Amino acid sequence: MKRRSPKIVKGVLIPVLIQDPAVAVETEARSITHPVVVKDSKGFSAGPACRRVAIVDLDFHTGKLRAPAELDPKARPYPNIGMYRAPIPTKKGAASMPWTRNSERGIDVGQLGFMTLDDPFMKVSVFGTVLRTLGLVQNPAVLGREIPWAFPGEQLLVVPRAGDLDNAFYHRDSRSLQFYYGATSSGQTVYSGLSQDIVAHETAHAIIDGIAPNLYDASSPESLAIHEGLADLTAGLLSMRNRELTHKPGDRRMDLKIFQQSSRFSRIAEEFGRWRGHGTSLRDICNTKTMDPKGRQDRRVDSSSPHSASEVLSGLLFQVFRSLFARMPDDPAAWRKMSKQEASNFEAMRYRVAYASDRTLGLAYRGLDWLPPGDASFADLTLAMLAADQEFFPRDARTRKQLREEATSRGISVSDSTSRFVSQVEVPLSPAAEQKFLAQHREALEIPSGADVRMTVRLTHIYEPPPIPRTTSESFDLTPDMKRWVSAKTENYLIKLAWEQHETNDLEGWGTARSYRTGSTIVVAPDGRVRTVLHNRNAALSTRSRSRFLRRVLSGQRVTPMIGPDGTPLERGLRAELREGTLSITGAMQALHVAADIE
Amino acid sequence: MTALTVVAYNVLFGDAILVCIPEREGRKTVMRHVLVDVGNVLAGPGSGSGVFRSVIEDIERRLDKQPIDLYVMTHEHMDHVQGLLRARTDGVRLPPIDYAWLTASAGKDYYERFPEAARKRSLHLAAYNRVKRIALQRNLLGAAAVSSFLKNNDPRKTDDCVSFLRSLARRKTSYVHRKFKPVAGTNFSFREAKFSVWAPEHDTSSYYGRRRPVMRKSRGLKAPAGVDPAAFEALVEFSHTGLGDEMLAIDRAANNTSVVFLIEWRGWRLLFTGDAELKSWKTMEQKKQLQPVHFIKVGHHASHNGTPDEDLLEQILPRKRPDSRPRSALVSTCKDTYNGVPDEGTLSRLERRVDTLYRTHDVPPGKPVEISFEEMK
Repeated sequence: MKRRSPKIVKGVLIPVLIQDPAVAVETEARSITHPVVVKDSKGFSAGPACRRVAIVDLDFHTGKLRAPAELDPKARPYPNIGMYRAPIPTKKGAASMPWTRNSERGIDVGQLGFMTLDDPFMKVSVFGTVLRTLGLVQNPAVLGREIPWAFPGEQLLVVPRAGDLDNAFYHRDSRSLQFYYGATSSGQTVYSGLSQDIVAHETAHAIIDGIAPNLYDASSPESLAIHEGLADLTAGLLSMRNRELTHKPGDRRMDLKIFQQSSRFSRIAEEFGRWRGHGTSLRDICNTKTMDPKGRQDRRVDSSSPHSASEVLSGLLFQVFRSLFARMPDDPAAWRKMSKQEASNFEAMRYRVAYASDRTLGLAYRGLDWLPPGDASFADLTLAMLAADQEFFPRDARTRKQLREEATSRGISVSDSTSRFVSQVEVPLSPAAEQKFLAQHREALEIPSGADVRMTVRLTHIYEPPPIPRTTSESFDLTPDMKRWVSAKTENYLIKLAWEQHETNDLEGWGTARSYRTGSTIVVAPDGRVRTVLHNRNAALSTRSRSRFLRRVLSGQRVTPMIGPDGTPLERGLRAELREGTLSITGAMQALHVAADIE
Repeated sequence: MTALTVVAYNVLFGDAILVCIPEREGRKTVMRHVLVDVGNVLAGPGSGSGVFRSVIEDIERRLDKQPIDLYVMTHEHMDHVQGLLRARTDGVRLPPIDYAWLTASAGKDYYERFPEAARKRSLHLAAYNRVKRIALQRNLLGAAAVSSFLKNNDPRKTDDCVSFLRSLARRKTSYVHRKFKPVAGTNFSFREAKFSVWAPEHDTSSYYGRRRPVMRKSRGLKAPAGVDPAAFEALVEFSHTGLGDEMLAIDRAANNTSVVFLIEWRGWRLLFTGDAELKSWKTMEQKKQLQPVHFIKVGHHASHNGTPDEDLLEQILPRKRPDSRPRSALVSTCKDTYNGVPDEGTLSRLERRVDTLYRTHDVPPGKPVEISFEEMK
């Protein structure tokens, strides 16, 4: 008899923890769990695992794998949607899954119980948050495409409880996100994997690396701060999608005031931040931080520190979010999509959050997508955001004006020096065409003679994104359905060129010159019409802050490989090479996170 | 005698330094003595307890029946603490010691008073045990550097030595840190020479670095169903790396608790650094401790991370000298014990800033290098 292969579960309902457990008891949220439905044609399996993400509960202390979370063969909360067998640990014992069809009960604050190291709920929750973050950025209103990872293969591994350490990081070479845990001095265990902010932040690093892989090896603190700032913004805006947090019981309205001051939405990683001694949280995206070294003392950042400088970018974009939230009713495109019934009830607020959040994330991630390769400054990213937004939302000059003004007020110099470049090119779709393209435009792009140039050409779509989501329920496919939004008419080409540039090196003992990567982006219509040309500009401030950053990260390091007592090279993350008096740096992003003690 | 003398013994890979300081008492000059550490590593070419007998005998001769006025234990590593206990166990009579300064965290009740340091210390001990198990699993215990590292950081062996050193002083044992105030007749006996402690901080919790745990190799560890085998292999490979880094992080934590102190005598400024590493140097800079000196005992046996970077070194040995006194540095080390120690780059950096670089390994084991600081008019 022929055995029937098991039916593939093509969608799952996942409960995710939406607030740090220790912080949850201080808030009045309805629930600290939130349901998410994720679909993928290749299905979901035990782990949890799917095509893009797999939980690997590997314990670094014992070298053993903990048991995977299994799919529950009987659970069918919605047609064709499965669930994992992951009861939520409560103080009264393991709770059965709280969601059935037509019921979206969550777990009340204070009900959450002690979570053991082999608890399946943690695996499922982390899995859900990683996918939810991916879904947030891939959705048609933001980037509208499946984002590849920066490493070979399709699957990102996630270790939810790697070991005892106050850290969590994305690590490209091991294709993984790793979440650690530890005990506070009061004896309480803090799991970084239980913090939605931290999981979303680290996932965003993996996403950003997939979009702009050059930033990983950048050597300027602003380039690394782009990673940090966008990751914080993503985490902050994801938390605003949690209706359990934004709506208090009996309160039908959500006020703008909640976003005008530091709040549980804007504070990033509260529990973890407290544990690490950073005050109320690690960082706060509701801020007035500035790059201006002459700015008010409490607004200034350390421009040589990627984490510190990142607050300028996240704060700037959060300000854009707040304005969009406030003026959503003025946007006829958004307002007319809502029914009268929706407009009158509290669902309107959820649409409003989704509108402002998608618009802001779209602005940021499309800018990142268009950002020229190599070391980039906040000004370079702002110009890329403005250029992309002009193409996607040609009629919404108001948002661009606000972005420009906000950037300027934060000490980011957004100059509009127009690049002299031809208006028509031949799209280089073959190696021979690439060589020809380079020969023709090298001078105009100011590429130094003799510099090796790496060119990539990618098909992209310029389309009018949906102003508000079709529904506010969280159900999405890992391959975004773009049929409604893109067609042959929206096709364009994104040409990116990257090369090495040299500058004087003032780091004693590290040569007299140093190289950094830089580049250009050219957006071209299929007929060869040049729509946009962007170059990364290396400002004097970037050189100074790069020197200060490198001085810090190279402290105690040598050019020669450093060998540990075990006879193997030390793992430094950051790799410094000195060739003929020129210093080149790679792996700064990894050093910043994995080697940990730099900041 | 009108010269202060630093007598640094070749104890292979370790420190044993006697400082002989003439002090005026009325019309008389008396010699007072400070002994800094005595120890060496327990494995590899830098080990050998036979040197301690001749070192103690030489010290006895120099003391001329006087006691050691002050003994300083910089930090809790065997290459700094094991010598005196070892010598006594071998039947050598130790000279009497009046006062002892031990690094703050060597106090018996220290970890009760500093819970965060206690928490980090327990993680640190767990890391040590894990590293030891992994080294055993990977057949690394035969490697001299690994064996030397493990024995040097062995908490049980170190505790035995420290326990012995706590009870050495006839008058008083003090547990010192940056805010410790030396008071003649109370916690030391010097009247003319001025002592100041630059490090460590009293709360040592900041000296513990953050390291991810290295994973031991498990047989039969395979990618679970649904997991990309290539990705899983990359993850497992990564989790096995970093053993050397974890060893150094463990070593670094104790090194950074080193007592760093300055002796000022008749215009001379002599700095003794124990094995302080970069974290401690940066903290000293933040606390505005750094200032120009004429002599430096080079930290951590001239490893690349025991001497601060150029900007900090400039504050201690500025290129533009504040006075005309000669400058010197002392390296107490033994080649081939640890990879890259002494670090040639570090030695070159120091040579560019001092007139004379003294090395203990230029004399036979058990013998001293003498550096004199004459009184200058």
